[in-house]
Amino acid sequence: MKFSVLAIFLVCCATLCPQAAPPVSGFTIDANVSRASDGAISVTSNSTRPLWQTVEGVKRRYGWTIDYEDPLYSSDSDQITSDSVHGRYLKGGKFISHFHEPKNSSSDEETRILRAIVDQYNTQFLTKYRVLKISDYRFDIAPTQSILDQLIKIDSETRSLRAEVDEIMASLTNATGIRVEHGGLIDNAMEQTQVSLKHADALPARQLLNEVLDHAPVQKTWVFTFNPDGGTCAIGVQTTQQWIMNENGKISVKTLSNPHFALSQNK
Amino acid sequence: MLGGAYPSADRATAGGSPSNDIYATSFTITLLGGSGNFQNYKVTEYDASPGTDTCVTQFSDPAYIPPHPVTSGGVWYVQGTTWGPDNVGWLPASVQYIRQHPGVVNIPCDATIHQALDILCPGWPTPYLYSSDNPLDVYTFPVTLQNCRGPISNGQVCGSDIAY
Repeated sequence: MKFSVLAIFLVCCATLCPQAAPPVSGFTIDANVSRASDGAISVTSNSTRPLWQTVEGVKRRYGWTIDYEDPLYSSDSDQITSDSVHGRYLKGGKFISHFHEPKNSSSDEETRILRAIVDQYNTQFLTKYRVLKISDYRFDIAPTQSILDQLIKIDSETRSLRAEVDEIMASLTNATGIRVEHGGLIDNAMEQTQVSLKHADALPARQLLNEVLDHAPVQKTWVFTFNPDGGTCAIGVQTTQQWIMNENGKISVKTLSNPHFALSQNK
Repeated sequence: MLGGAYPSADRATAGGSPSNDIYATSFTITLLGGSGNFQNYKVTEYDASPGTDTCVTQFSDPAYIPPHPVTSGGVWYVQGTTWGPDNVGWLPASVQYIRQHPGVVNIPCDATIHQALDILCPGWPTPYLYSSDNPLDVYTFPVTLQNCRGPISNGQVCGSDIAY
């Protein structure tokens, strides 16, 4: 019934509502990933965040846990543009990367491919990134200057994973003066699972964030974005997925368990 | 254990919002069919297929509006025949983003997660898939939100309209 209401609204809006957005720039929602007969992979992205879009395509293809972080841009950065409909947004652009399929599922192969993508990006775009290996299953794609390298201190109170991520972001906000929010849809596993971090010293926000997510029963990945329309940041956390297409073109989804979960429960 | 002992379907009841999440809805699920007693059985959610979100545009921020929403890997233990809460909806920061970026987010829209549910009897090695595709929908209208559970063709259950 709700769908019918939505459908009627959409049809009416198509004819009666003012058109919200003009045709734009060729930006796409998802990257296009193609494979040549020799095993060469090409990933084409065209987005306000082309490296993020490429990483998303690679994550889904291989079921890898890869986090992505925007840099902080200055308000007069030439990487920011604007128009009357969308306000201020990242210029981004088109990025085509090439690499060969991983030979196996080792983290060495994942490192090789992520470095190849980031090296290709760094030769074409002004903003430079690096590949950080965080654990046996987690990699971060981070700008060379990263807000998440900021040292912060967290108490040892027991909280849900969601509340602990919020606490880290609040501490980061206090330490930097840059407001950081937690967006997305509610995540039941992160509400259900408890964590208590026990560190006497201040540590990089990145390390604390990834330690918290390492307590989740399934692998979690995050995207940390800079909003040029206000200078704030946001983090979104989602479950890592691998998309697997069968011969009929139907896509099934595989969720990856966290190999450290049982260990973290016994601490 | 034979599938006949397990539930064959479920029925949701929409409650209010979780305490810190005024834009979400808590659903309580009652299992139907099977033996009728599933005390301490373990329910786990997965994704039946990729999620979709028509709120997304080429300019929306993926930290607030993920293009492909997913299940959380949530786990619940059945009490009698019910389990939950299964909370569905936007976090407050995303609603604020939607409110402040009308030209960037495509409203009205529908974020859909294709939840699959399996259930495991205590002491039994393999779970049983009792719901292969249970859509969770977050509808965003110009001034209200509504969170729903279940297929439209088969008794979709929705929470109240939530103003934002």
